[in-house]
Amino acid sequence: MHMILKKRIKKIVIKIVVICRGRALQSAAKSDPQVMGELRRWDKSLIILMQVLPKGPGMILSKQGRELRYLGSTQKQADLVINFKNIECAFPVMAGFMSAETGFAQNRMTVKGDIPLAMSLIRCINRILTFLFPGFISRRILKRVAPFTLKEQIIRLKILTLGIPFGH
Amino acid sequence: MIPTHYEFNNPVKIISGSKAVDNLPFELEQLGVSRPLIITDQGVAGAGLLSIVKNACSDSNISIGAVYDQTPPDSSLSTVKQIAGLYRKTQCDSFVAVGGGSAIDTAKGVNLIISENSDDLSQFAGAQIIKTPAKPLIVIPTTSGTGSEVTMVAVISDTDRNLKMAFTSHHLLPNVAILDPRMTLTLPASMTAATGMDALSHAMEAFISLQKNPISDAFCLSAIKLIGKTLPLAVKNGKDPDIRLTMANAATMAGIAFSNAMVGVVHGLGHAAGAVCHIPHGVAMSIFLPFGLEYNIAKEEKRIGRMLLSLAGESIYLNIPENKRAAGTVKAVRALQKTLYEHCGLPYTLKQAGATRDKLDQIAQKTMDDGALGFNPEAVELDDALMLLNRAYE
Repeated sequence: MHMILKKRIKKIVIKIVVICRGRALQSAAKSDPQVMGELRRWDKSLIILMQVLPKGPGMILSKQGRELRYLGSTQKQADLVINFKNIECAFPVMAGFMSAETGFAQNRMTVKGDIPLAMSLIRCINRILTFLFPGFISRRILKRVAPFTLKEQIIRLKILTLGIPFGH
Repeated sequence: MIPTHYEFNNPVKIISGSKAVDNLPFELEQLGVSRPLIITDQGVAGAGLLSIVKNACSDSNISIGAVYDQTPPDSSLSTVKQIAGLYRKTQCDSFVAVGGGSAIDTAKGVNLIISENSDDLSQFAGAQIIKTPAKPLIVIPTTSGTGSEVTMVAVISDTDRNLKMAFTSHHLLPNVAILDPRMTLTLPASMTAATGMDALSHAMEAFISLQKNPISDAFCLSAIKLIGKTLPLAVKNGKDPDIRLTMANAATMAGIAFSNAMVGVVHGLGHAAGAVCHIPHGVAMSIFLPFGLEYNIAKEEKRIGRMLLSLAGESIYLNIPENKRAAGTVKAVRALQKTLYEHCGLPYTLKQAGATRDKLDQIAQKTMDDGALGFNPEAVELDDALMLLNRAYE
């Protein structure tokens, strides 16, 4: 019973993280030059699905024109699918204890689709992690974290105050 | 320190020895098949190596269904589709790949679409997404470098989109790898050197990769030791079957290691330099290896230093203080490069390999798309890739 409860709590945490990360990505795609630069190289219209097997939670991202939209977790046919093998594989990566790169290195995830696109997505995710987490956490999980400029501090403030709560 | 979580998978049966190819009919029968399609290339056919395989199958219950000997140096989606048609038409039941990385990867690609009953290989691109067990595949490598005979990876070009697609799945692992010195005796010195440096880069990058684990480490260090001792001898005296067999074993060990620990920036740069400037993979690996090691010293100094013991031997290792061993490893790789350059002209700069400076930006850009960067211990950004390319230029 104790283990089932723990698993449910982890699932709830991941659901919350997915919403925060999805909205942060949507917001960064409008304001952060690094994320915008990555997005420019993607096809004009594509769908990305990141999900925990077997039954979620998941995150759907859709690029429409120049914008990236977070579309919740409704299952869709996607151009790039990143699957976490199970909730225990997903939790350290989603909860910020481990980078996506380490997650891949530990065989926690599978990728269906273009590897260059997956690499670009990981760079975007790493970038928003630096906005979402304080420096002492992001420096622990990412290979390199550069100090923020004033402009980047403003972008971070926008993502945290408008992006995550309101999706702007 | 043991990683918090790792996976290791190598179910490939390895048969190593003089005349090991003669075991082919027995191994095919053990796998319950009798009509293989042989996939090879013109170089192998021209060197008379195919006759060794055909001879092995004579007077046996094995009937070779067909031979495809037109595999191009870079295997492509269209080649895979064409060979799949031949397999179906000639009602084969298994595959034998005879050649270097291209022939082996092509066989893996054909096997994938035959097993999945599809014509479109591109829909299976990615990592660990294939669910159907493959047909029996036996690999007979004719170079000692790619390690593809024991890896779960296939790289196939999409010539229409000008990109290389990676397929990773344990279903791509061959059933049997046959290492026979007769198959590499005719390999020219320059190709022996380049493919040997490819194997060394597999072992060295896998030893410092984010995916390293205790079992892959053991394979890495054994491979580095064998290559350090044997590669110069194989280049000088390629007709010695013992030396050839040792190199074949070393390349296979390095292949097992990197199939389970992956590679890093050296391969990322090498794949991109190959795509933009058509620098052969082994040559690119040789050029970038010392720069890649140097670049990672800040994150993996101890491990890079540890490789000195395997590469250069005990006396050199013990005479270098601990804090200088990582630099000593880089120096030992450069000394090996110099030896190979003197013996067979293996390039050690991009300029010598025919690249032009105006292409470096393009190579750096392409490097950023390579999946290997994710496993490199140090972060690699566009400026870092460009800096490494400039250092390796001349």
